[in-house]
Amino acid sequence: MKSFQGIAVSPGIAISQAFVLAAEGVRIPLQYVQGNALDAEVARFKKAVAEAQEEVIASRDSITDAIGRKYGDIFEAHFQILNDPKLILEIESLIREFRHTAEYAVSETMHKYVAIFRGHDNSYLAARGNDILDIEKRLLQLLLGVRRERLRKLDNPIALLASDLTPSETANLDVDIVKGFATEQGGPGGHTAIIAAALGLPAVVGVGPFLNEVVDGDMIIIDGENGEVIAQPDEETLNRYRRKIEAAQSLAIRLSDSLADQEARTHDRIRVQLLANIEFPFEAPQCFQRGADGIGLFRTEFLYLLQGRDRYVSEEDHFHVYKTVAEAVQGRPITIRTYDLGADKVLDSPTSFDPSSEGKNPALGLRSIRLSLRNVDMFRLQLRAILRASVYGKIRIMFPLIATILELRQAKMILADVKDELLEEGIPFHHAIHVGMMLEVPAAILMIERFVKEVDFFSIGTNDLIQYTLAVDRSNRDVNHLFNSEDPAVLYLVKYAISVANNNGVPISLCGQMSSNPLYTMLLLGLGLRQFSCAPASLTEIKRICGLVEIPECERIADAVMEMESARDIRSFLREKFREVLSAARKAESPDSAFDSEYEMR
Amino acid sequence: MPKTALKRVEEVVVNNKSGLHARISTMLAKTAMAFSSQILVHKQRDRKTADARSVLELLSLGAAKEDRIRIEAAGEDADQAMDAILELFTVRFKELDDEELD
Repeated sequence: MKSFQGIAVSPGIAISQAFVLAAEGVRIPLQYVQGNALDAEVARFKKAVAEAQEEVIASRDSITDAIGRKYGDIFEAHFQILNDPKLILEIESLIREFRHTAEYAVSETMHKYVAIFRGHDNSYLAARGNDILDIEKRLLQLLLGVRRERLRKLDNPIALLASDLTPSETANLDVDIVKGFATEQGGPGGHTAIIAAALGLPAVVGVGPFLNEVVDGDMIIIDGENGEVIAQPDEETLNRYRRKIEAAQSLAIRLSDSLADQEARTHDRIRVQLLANIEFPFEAPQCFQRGADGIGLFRTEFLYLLQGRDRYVSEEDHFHVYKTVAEAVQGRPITIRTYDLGADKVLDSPTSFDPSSEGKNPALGLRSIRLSLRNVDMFRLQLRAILRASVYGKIRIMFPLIATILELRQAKMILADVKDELLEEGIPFHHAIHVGMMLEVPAAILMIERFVKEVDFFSIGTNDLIQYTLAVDRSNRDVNHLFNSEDPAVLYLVKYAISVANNNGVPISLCGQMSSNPLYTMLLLGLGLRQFSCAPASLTEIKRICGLVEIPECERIADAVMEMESARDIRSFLREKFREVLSAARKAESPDSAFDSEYEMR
Repeated sequence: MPKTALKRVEEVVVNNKSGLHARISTMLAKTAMAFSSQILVHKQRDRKTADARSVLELLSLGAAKEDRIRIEAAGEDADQAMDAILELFTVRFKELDDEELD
């Protein structure tokens, strides 16, 4: 039994067989091939070499035509390397004699040559190391591409273990086959994590190097509650996890049965709006089975991710999706957020977006509303579709990542222009559609007194707010211990935003991960928040906590928290208060040990 | 080795600005592959040897301008192979040097 610790990003437990997927451009894990599969492995390698040769010949010819033979000759050299009999023999013997996978043999051999080149006191030769890496990458893409293809053709359940997964790869996982995943890279709050939660896939990210310690077919437990990945568990561990799965399933059924049709209210009968965050249209109906009052955040980025090299996402595609969701929510409000595209989402960039202009600091770069304001055609197309769908339900528009008042006005101006256009064309839409903005840049919260006059509602996004307030990249393992929802500075901004919005009668919700975690429910109620927008899976938990607490008590908790100096103090205080509430509830109600033990895991 | 085997040994001095760089090594390997003889390239300074058919081994020699190189060709067509390779060193590589960018 081996155990690896990562970061839990999507709750649930998966027990399944390992399927290992390494990424291009990273060191390939050492894996072995079965003795009877060696011929096939060598054939796979040779096929990749032949394909790579074809590719470089094509590059050589097109570049020679375009800018001259001198440049085309660079690829002639690549071809000659791929045609190097010593190299081919060396890789083949690593596969046959040491039973290494083709990927590993290629990577090892190529890196050996890079080291030789760089070992010479010769800058020209050292630079040629990059050509070798380029060829390595090409071969690995061909070899691994085939493996990624295989992932799509599996028919038995697996636990996916990967170096990294992009958000679009995650969105395209077949949840009937993939029972959960764990990755070496990544951090909390990344979009891969958000999509995993939306799909209900147990997931652990940021495990660090571990793929060389597992092989395909190993029994794997992915513990999305504690961030643990266990390979080849012993019988006792396996049984313990099986019992956890059963307990969680029966708890979920009991909670949704008993709470689904009740409004969310505190124990002292204060009404709380419970809204759901969704990523995909198919999630909408299940939110209402769990008793949501509406959709507080419909992320639309998946539409962008559908966009491929050969697939253009049209206004009709957008319109159809928005209309479907508007009808599914049956008169309840739904907030559609315009594209919040970030560096980790843009993969195959459309021509209007130039990835080379991206700096070293993508979180501070051209993303989200800034990208929309730059690509006005894309933005208008989305706004047109939202407006057209607005006659089918209570749709609201929300702009992400607004930092300055001018950005907000610019976005609203484009919206007004699109409205005029629809009016001229005689296309119906809801003229008084509500327009709101995310509060996730500290600048916007500091200036909220000015914004409050120009929007119909706010929603606080805690993930970005934490990153920008504390200057912490949440995916950087060296500093992510500083990324805390309960940091006093973050809470100060949240408190200020809620109080200004409440004083001005502008509705405000909180849609970050903070509102999905019951640990923070009392604090947020105490700060005056009455609209929680959370992950669908958390709706019943949050509703239950609301029902157990009273507002004056929550306000006392909030006052105490605001006096504290560190995230650590605040967290342990909130944990203590949370336990008190649960144990009081347990005494009052019938013993509910499964419910309690569920929280012990946090 | 076949009955009609021949062996020829020649010495040359690398005369290019950047030594046996990628374009030159590529051309050398392509030429060597056109013959059946085994062709070895020894760099005398540090006694390293490369198979002339392997562009990676040629590059790994790290042979710079002024390095002395011993070439050995062995096989039926060793004569023709050696002539072709010497021509590369005496004529073609210099031409390449003139049109080189870097």
